[in-house]
Amino acid sequence: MVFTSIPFLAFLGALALLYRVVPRNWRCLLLVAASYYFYWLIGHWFILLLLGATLVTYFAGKSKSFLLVTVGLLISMLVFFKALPLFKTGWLFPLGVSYYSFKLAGYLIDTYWGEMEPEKRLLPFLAYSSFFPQIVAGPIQRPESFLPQVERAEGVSFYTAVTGVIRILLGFFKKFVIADNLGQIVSFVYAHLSAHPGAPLALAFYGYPLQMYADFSGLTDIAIGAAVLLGIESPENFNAPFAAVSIREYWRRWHITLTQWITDYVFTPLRMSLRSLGQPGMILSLFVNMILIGLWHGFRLHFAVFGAVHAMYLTIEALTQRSRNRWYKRSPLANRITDWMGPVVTFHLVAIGGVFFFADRMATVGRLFSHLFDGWSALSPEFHLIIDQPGHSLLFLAAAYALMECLDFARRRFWGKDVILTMPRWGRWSVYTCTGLAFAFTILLMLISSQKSNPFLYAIF
Amino acid sequence: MRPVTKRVAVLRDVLVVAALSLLFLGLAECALRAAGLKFEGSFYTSDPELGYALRPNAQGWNISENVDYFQVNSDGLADREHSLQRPPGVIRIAMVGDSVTEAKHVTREQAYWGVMEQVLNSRLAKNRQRVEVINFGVAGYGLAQESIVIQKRVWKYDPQIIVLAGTIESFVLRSTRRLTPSKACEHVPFYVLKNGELAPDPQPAEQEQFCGNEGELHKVEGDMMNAIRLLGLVGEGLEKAKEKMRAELNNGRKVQPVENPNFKETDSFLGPASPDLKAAWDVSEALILRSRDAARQHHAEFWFFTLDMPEQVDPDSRKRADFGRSLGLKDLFLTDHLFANFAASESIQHGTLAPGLLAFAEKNNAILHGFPGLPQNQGHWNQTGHRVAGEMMARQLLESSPLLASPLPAE
Repeated sequence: MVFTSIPFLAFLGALALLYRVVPRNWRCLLLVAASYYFYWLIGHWFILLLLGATLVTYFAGKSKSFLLVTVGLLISMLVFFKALPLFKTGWLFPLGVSYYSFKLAGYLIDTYWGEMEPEKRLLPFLAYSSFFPQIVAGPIQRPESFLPQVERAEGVSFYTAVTGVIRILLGFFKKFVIADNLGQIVSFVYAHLSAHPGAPLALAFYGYPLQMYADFSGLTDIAIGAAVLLGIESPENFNAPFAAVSIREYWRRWHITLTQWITDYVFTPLRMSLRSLGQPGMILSLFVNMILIGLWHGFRLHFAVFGAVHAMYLTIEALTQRSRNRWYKRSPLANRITDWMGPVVTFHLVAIGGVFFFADRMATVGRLFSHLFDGWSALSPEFHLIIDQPGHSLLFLAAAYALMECLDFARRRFWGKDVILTMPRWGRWSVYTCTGLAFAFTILLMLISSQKSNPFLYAIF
Repeated sequence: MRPVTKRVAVLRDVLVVAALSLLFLGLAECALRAAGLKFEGSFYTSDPELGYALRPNAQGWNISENVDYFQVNSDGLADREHSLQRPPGVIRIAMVGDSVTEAKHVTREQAYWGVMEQVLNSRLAKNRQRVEVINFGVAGYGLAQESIVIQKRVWKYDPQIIVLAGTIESFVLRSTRRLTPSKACEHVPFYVLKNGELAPDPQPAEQEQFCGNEGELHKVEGDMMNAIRLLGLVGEGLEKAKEKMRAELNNGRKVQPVENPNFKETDSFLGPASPDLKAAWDVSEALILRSRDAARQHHAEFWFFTLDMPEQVDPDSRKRADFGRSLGLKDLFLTDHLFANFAASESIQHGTLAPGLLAFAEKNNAILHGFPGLPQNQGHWNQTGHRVAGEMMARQLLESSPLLASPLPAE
């Protein structure tokens, strides 16, 4: 049951209704039952792994002596499943293990550090690790944010539910209109790299980061919207990453909950312990941090290289920070130009990193970069076949992407939880009507779609 | 200023909501168009004699196999407008057939009869003759419907040549109710032979089905669905929902709503090999003779062309051989030859395109059926298939039609 299927929407709708009508003290149990049912559908017997890891963590959290051992166990479990494909192919990967093991490990570390009290009740804790909107691809919500909400188990008002539905629709728009269409072009180019001149290669080079953003943020939107329908407010995972003026800022805006997790539990402790080494210590911490982020996606060389490339960017940025600041102080014009050019440069750096992320062979990377500026004409008939399909026109995709950014901007700027309440009556009714229409059209589009939607890129990590 | 009453305020709000919703729908329509999403148009309407026919002035997108804008003229023909009065110096050819002749997947100029018209006109220009082809083809028609078209529909245009063209599948299997692919509509006419004479074969009472309301409302609905993409989306979405529910009820097996379990397309290659096929052949021959006689009554030439099946013209000889083996057949043109023999015995002018098309496909390693992005050599003729077939038919008409025959320059 994938997020972009009609059965999922039916399941979510029925659950949200049930959640609204059952007594408050049943709601947590309902969430656990629904989450485990969902996980059984997508993960089958790996449900036992999820349950086992959760129970071990829950009981380990009560005794300080087992805390760090259990963190080690959780990380070993994650490493085991990430490394397994290196030795044996054909093994199933337990979906969501990257996310729930980080959630559980974070809980134990916070408890160990005394940042939070161990959770007393098992049921909310089971809901925390298995909460189905977040289990496929996050966001990685911290226990101190999730547990009080699930314990309060507040009902969801109609207008709040509508904001959840709107968020889900935004996710569908990002996925179906932008990510899937861009993805078909990008995949086609990468699959026949040697057959293409420069223009398709450039399209894949620029298209992939946009596809990945639309895909992952779309998935996050659906997860956040679904959580809203169940009375849970989730943390944001993205904040206009391509508006970042530097790579450091980019990582504060991209996959925020993962970056925050690794910063809190890996980078900061490591940086503190290597403080005496000065700059080499800082560089080492950055490389460890970023390579870990890369390897979190899978134990593959290209993911490690992706992390190293970003570590290199961050190192250069950190080492030149002082001299750049001095320069900006002397020349306000340079400062202003940097503000404008920063996002462009950052996007290009991210796109270069994206090539390493996508291409699992270094030969592919070499081929793309060495032929990027080759002839920009004579596109193959097969490439025309791809870009002439409905939804693949570059103009349409550019317009859709711009609309997506505008919608996201409006959401961040003006769209609060209770925004509908503050509207006049005609505004509220219009929002309800248009949301209903958009939802109906989305269902119809899902019905007529001849091909299944591509899997979410981040649902496989 | 008078205070606004509650009722007026509600009415005002409802109007604002309606306006904003309309604006939203307008934007959604623009988005669908900008995305290039197209939905299969609605082109057909009921016909008391033929079961169904093309709806006059219908126009919309055909998206099956190939994307093409399809227009029906004001007389319900898949063609441009034609005057009823035949212009002086013009030889009119009426093309009668099924979906291949309807040619929804290509433009008029690309359709085989459009190509034929161009070739004939270029060859006859020196005689100051002009040929005008009028297309009466309708998808799904069998010989019963085609014979009715020839008897009753074509003569108001005063054609001098009638060309009945179709695949062996349409000429054999769609001749009888028992073997026809679909039982979609009880109004489609079929015949049986009783004492050597054609007699109507009415739909059995237990198979009576609603054929779709084809009144004025349906026409307006069809035209609106063709014009407004959102309605196309709603129509197709609901259709798909029904299809999925039907599949669910059939344990996940995708089924055509009204498929005929007796229909097996490959049977058309076998000739009269079973009692059912023999009965179909007898009806087919009787209907062809009836069509010929109708043409004779109007002093028009009658031509009968068998087109091809994709399996017959696959440039890959191994695939052809495998297909033949799977049917236990040595000759994939068996049915074509049987029709040719029948035509010769009844003095019907006849053309068999499949062997010539195969020769072209083999020589040029050309795929004549199917469109880009779809499995090769399946479905209807592509532009190449239409072109080669049109040229072959034109050549044969120029060689053998008393009206058109003229010395051909060396090829």
